[in-house]
Amino acid sequence: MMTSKSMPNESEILPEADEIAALLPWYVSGKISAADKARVEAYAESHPEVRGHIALARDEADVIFADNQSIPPPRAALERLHASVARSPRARLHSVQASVVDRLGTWLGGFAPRQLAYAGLAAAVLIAVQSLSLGSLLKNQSNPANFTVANKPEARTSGTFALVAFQPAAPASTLSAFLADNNFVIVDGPKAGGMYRVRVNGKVLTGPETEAALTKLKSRADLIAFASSAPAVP
Amino acid sequence: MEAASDDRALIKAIAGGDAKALERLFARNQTRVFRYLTRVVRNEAVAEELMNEVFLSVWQGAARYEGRSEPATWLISIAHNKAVSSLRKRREVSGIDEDTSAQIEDDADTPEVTSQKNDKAAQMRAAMQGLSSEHREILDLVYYQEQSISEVAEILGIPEATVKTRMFYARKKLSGLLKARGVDRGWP
Repeated sequence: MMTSKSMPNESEILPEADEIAALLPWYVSGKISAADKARVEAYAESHPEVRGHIALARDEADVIFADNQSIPPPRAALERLHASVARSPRARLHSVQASVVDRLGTWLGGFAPRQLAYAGLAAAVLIAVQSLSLGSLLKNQSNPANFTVANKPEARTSGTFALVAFQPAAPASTLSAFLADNNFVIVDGPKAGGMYRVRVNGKVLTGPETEAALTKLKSRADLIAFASSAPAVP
Repeated sequence: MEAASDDRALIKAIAGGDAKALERLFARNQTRVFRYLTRVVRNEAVAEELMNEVFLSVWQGAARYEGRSEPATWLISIAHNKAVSSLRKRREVSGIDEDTSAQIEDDADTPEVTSQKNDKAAQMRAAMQGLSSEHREILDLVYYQEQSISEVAEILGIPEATVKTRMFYARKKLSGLLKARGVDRGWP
């Protein structure tokens, strides 16, 4: 933070008297190791002027404490943080996960124990099937013959992206057709919460254009469970 | 220590996605962080913005907290990095080294400053305005934030020996600025 021309040589070894002077603020604050504290006190025994130097450090502490205390906490800072957190990708992901867990909880709540065992098995099969179909979709999209752009490294970082969760029951063929028709390309996934990263345009879109692309994704509620904008670099 | 262990538990909960835990951590630490930032960047609006960024970073990166340092040290360390980055950007945009401008301001006594010359605390307060941001910061970290030598080293990312040397020069510079105002502390 300081310009180099005004910076003293901080790598030099201080003479003992100067090092004791450097330790006094910690001696006054109490956040000093036992060894350093003993060192200051031993030095002060043979150098009575150090008692006066400790008083100087206390004066410094008093002024700095009073100055800090005079700064009021900011107003509406919590509301501002709420807004920032709500806009963060992490909050949206947690919101989707919580919603899925809630819905799953409600659904499972209506089953008897034996039914639950069958339901658990069915859910496991469904997840496995969806992973396979989406995995195959990702693989197919990476095929240069079909989606050459997805195979290029820049396709993963340049353009406009969305974080997308697909409906578990979405047929892979319908989903593939929908993505292809709109030039949407899966570039990564699945991530935590079953999310996929989808490139919605090869160019960096404006805010309203991005919103339009997201609206198009969300318009297919039979295929898309969740969609939100994502940064260019994951 | 109890406060630190509470904060550790909150950070762990935040890593698990608990937004309420973030609110509690914020409530417990916002004053400390805001005051630190205000003192370093010397602009309350900028400090507010940076504080928001600090806690947003906590929300997004709580899982990276390994618990080796005290939660307060970790928070101030994040705040330090935000402040350094902000000061650098301001310097690049304005072309003005704020440390230099602070000293220029300090050399020219305003009537208000002149009228305060009989007040010892006010004298010291005015002299501290002439310190560089690095020297002001290290004094605040120790006297107000109550950080140990090793914690200051962690926050600033410098060796402990350098922490002590910087503290020595900060205090020496303060004595020099006071002397220029006619106050001889008798040290160094």
